[in-house]
Amino acid sequence: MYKMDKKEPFWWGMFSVGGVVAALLAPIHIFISGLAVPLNLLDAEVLGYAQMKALLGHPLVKIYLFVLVVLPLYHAAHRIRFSLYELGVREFRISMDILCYGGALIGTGLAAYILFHLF
Amino acid sequence: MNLHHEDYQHKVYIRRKSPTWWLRNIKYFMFMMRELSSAFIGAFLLLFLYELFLISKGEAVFNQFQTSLRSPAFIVFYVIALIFALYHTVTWFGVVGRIQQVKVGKTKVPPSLVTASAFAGWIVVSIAIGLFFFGVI
Repeated sequence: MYKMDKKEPFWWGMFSVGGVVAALLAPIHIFISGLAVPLNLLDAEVLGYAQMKALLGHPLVKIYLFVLVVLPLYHAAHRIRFSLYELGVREFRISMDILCYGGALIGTGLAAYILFHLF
Repeated sequence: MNLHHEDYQHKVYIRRKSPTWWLRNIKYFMFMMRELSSAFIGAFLLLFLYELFLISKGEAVFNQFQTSLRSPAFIVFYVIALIFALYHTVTWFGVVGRIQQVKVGKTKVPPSLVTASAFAGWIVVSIAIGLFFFGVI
């Protein structure tokens, strides 16, 4: 009998939600973080130490940043996993699932530690 | 006739693909680039997370790293990451209408309208975040 895979739908769901977050938020954040200041559109002060520290003092900002950083990591883990299969990479000694999704889980832990413990 | 599954010896056929199959035509190539976009977005987000971490190390350390982020190598990275991120947005919202069925009451919203709303939402959200940083909000 066909055994239902309970894990796959969960990871697929995370891939999907992460894809939406990345599609919606990644371009504007890449532009502001990396290009707005060199293009002289934004004063470096706006992304400076005092401003960023003040922003991180706000719990809603922390939650927003957590969602922004963490969910696309699951999206990336899923895509990298399947791309490696597409490129003909078979299982390593450690399972590819553990390698890819484990990486996303480590990223989640780091983001939680930085956002909710350090600040 | 009594056929049991166990009677058959299945041999799994594994089709050998060359590792460079995706270079053969532009559609395969763009498929791989779409997959690769997630790695660039992930790299940007981890870099961003590292910046947030450096805030805890004090102003001098944070500012020094911010200055290095304005170097040409990082600017090239940001430009490439932005192109990949935009490609992800376009491909993701481009198919969302066909994947996600939206109903208002009993009528189905046409896929093209779902996609158009997704793009409109993206533009509104991007402008709102932009205005936040530009100090208008």
